[in-house]
Amino acid sequence: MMRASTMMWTRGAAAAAVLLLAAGGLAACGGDEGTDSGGSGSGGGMTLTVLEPAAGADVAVPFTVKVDSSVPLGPSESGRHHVHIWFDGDEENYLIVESDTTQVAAAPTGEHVMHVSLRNANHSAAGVEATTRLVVAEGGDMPSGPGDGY
Amino acid sequence: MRRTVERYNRRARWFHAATYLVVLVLLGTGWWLLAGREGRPSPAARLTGVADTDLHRWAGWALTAVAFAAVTLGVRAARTFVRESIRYDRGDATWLRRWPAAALTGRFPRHEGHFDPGQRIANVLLVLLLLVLVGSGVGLARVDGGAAFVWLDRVHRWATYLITPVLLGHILVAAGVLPGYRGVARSMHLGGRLSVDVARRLWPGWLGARDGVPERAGHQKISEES
Repeated sequence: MMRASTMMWTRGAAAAAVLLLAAGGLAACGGDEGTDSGGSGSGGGMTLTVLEPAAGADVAVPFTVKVDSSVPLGPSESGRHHVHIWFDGDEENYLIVESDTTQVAAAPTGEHVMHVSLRNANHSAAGVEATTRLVVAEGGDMPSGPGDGY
Repeated sequence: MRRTVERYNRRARWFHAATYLVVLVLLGTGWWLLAGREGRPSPAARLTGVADTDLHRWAGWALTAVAFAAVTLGVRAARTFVRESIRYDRGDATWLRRWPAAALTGRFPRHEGHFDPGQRIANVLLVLLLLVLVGSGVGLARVDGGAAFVWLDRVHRWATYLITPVLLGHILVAAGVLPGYRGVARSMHLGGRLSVDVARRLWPGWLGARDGVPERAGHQKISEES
């Protein structure tokens, strides 16, 4: 026969697991992002446009990325929005952009999709993302992504 | 026969383990982000394939759930923990004065209660700072930006600066690196059975009370369990 304390502990552990799962689910909830493959994106009344480089451009690192955001950009501590730049599906490896212009010092060579995503100060997606197809020239010692060269 | 004593039950040990595993993830990813390494995956981010900011946020929600479980499922233990952490006895000041030397020699003055006076201070600081971190962290996750975000961010950062040395000190003591604390890690790990000699050295009042010896009456009766 199962002891009362063991049963209490089992019930307690099950309840704690449910709480953890609920918290995880809460954390995983996120909004849909307005993605545009033409170098500009919009959502929730905000817009983000990639001014440079142009879609399909041939670039060599380092290259400059210029964006036009409808909301002011700045560091997280200021409470303003900022931008994440990454290539293809490597979303964990990104460059943080806190102004309208930045230099990308590291990028994988060949043809890639550059993602430019507007972020809230707390790093959650603001719902605006633009993508630009680029051809990055070979040469130089390239880290695996933009975050590595930051 | 090796004489041992159980200081924390299984439930308390698992709660402690869950708390410190989550806190270590938060501390690691938090300092990674504070060091300006955001966007460059930390070893934990590479291992999990989850960005450090997301890892930090998820671990924060897990800590919130652990804290909630502590005050609901473990309310009796939480009450005892608080009561034992805020007690003050005559002789505590002497204990604290002699603590630096005792940490090296193992000759701790006697004290009463479940925790020694140093542990009580650490407990109060850790609980208060963790509450501030959880509160401001939940706020940061829910507030997108603006003035409220700026304040929550400041509070979260300063609480991190303050809690880090307390946690490092706790780990140093609990790991048993200091000669006076050798063997103490067993109270929370590997079955939770602590040598009676270690318990007598560090928590004489608790050991005596456990064996039915009145406080300050000495502890001739020795707990013997295998």
